Amino acid sequence: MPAESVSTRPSRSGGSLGLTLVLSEITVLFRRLRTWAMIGALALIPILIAVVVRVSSDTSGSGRGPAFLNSITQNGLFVSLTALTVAIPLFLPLTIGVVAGDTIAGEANLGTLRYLLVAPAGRIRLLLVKYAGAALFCFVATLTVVVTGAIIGALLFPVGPVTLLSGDTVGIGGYFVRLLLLALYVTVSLLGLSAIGLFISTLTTIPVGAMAATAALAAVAQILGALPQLEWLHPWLFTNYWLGFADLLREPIVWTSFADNALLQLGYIAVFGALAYGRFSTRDVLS
Amino acid sequence: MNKNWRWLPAGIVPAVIVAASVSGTAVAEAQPQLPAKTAQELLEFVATSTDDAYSGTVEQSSNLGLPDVGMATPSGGTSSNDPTSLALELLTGEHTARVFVDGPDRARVQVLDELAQRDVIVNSTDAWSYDSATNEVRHAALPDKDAAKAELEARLQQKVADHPELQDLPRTPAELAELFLTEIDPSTEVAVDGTSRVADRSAYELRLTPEDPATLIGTISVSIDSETGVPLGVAVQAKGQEDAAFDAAFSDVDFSAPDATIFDFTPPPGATVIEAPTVDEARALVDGKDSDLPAVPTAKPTVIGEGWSTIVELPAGSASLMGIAPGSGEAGMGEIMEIKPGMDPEQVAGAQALLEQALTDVDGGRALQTSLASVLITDDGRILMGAVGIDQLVAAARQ
Repeated sequence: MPAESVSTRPSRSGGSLGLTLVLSEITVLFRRLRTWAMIGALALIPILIAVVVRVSSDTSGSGRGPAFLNSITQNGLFVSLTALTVAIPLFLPLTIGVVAGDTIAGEANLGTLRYLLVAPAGRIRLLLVKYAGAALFCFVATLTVVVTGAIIGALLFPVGPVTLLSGDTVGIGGYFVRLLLLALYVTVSLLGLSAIGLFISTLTTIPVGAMAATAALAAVAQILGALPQLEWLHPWLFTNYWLGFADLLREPIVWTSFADNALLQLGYIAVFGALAYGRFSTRDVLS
Repeated sequence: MNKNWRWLPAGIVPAVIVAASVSGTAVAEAQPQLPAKTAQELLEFVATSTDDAYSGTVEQSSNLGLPDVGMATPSGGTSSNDPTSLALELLTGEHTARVFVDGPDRARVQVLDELAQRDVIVNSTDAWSYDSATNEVRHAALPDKDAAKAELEARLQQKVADHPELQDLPRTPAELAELFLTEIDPSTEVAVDGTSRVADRSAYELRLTPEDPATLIGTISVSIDSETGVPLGVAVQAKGQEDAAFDAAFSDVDFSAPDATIFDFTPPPGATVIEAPTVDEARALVDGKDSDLPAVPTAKPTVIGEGWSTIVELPAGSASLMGIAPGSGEAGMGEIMEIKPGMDPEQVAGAQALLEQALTDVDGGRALQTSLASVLITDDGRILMGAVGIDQLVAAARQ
């Protein structure tokens, strides 16, 4: 859909161009059928989990399966947590890979990139705008899983005060504050991957390649993270704190993983942002 | 047209990150200057610290030369009710725990697992434990403290009346420290070994070195906070091993009283609560009288040797009591552990594989060797263990 991509962008240059560009980028992103298909697929994860648990009468479970699965029958609000645990290793990185990998390569592939680059300074701005769009998608995608999980859980199961990992209980209000923090945590976790995707996207004009490479890197990082022989490497992997969101479900909350995660992701953003800038600002844009 | 300078940030940013992380560790390793203290003074200092309130995070790692149980059990399901596998699990790999202490009576320890947590809470009236993976609560009502203290005092008086030599029992921290030093002196060298930084605080290093050549334990070093006397870390070094075999230390610590609500615990709805027997019930259980409960076979262990190379021998039958089949490796491997109801077959399989890897055939039985201790299961069902090599256990078993 090249026509759509171009028509929503302002062709003039002005002071508030940055904000206008971000808005138009977001509009384009969320007008795409593909974006909604991915959000729909993410929403299906909690729905599938909740329905399967509801339909099967086997409640024993004996502690196996993804974390929090056995708590769902007692409290529907746990659907969000189970769904997040399932979505973080595969589905979320996959959708982020698609969005981030498409940022620059997609425009190049459609032949619209050179229209976006009216001035050399525009390249930095374009990178920032594209990255902002991908970051917003991270948040929307995570929130989709959490909110759908809470809704479907409340529909199918009883809802009540939530037992935290420490054995303390919080009311529904307090739980939703924690869920929001959790969505923020997962969003921050995915920002490093988005930066990697942005960089890969500047390397090629074939969006599918950038998407696949980004999603594959997420898988590789997780495999490396599972090997005890590479323990020295683990603190440097962008996936290192992905399952650390559980620290927000302890009482008192453990904030160190939140801070460490943010710092790590910031490092990835800085490195791959700089790489993306180096590549994109020196590249000859022909399409 | 030279655009190469635009790659400059891509080179500078990683360099800055590496430099920052390297300088961070360099600063942390600087040794603080502290007024000199003797071992006696340092021990007195520790003994006065029991009323302190603090909270912090403890990082623990073990390197006993055992295969990692974490690899044998499914991820996220590391916790188990079976005490044996729980102990094994804590002795391998790494753990992070949060510790809250308020005086000698109130404490809470939270072992932070991935997507799970285990809690132990002790306050003045109750002791609780909670495992989030199984949603199980264990509870024990603690005896009334004042009454227990009075009873203990009365018994002590009785003992002193029977044995007059106990008259000068140590009461003050200084006396305790002195007693400890005189008791430990012939077998162990106790020394203050400089200073260190633990959890961003300056600490004294107290080092215990066993002088017994037979033991596997090389040194035990305890880091003691220079301001409060609270032990901040313990490291046990095995002979001939570079990394510490056992290491537990605070990574951050805060010497302010923790929030009082932390020590309250109410079992969450839906949790299984298991009540521990009260003191009287437990006493009846051990005595095996006036009780419907089956008496626990109390096999008295034998102690061989003394000091650091002490060997404890459990009599025949102990092995099968613990669910370990004695006998030669070829026949018994499949049935090392019997599956009891309520045990997860997957976990049993994992623990079994672990045992199979760890146990080696030796003369007269099978043995488990770690870098700090050895266990020998003889063919006639005795269990011998000690902080010595396997050959010493085999020799002791023959006597």
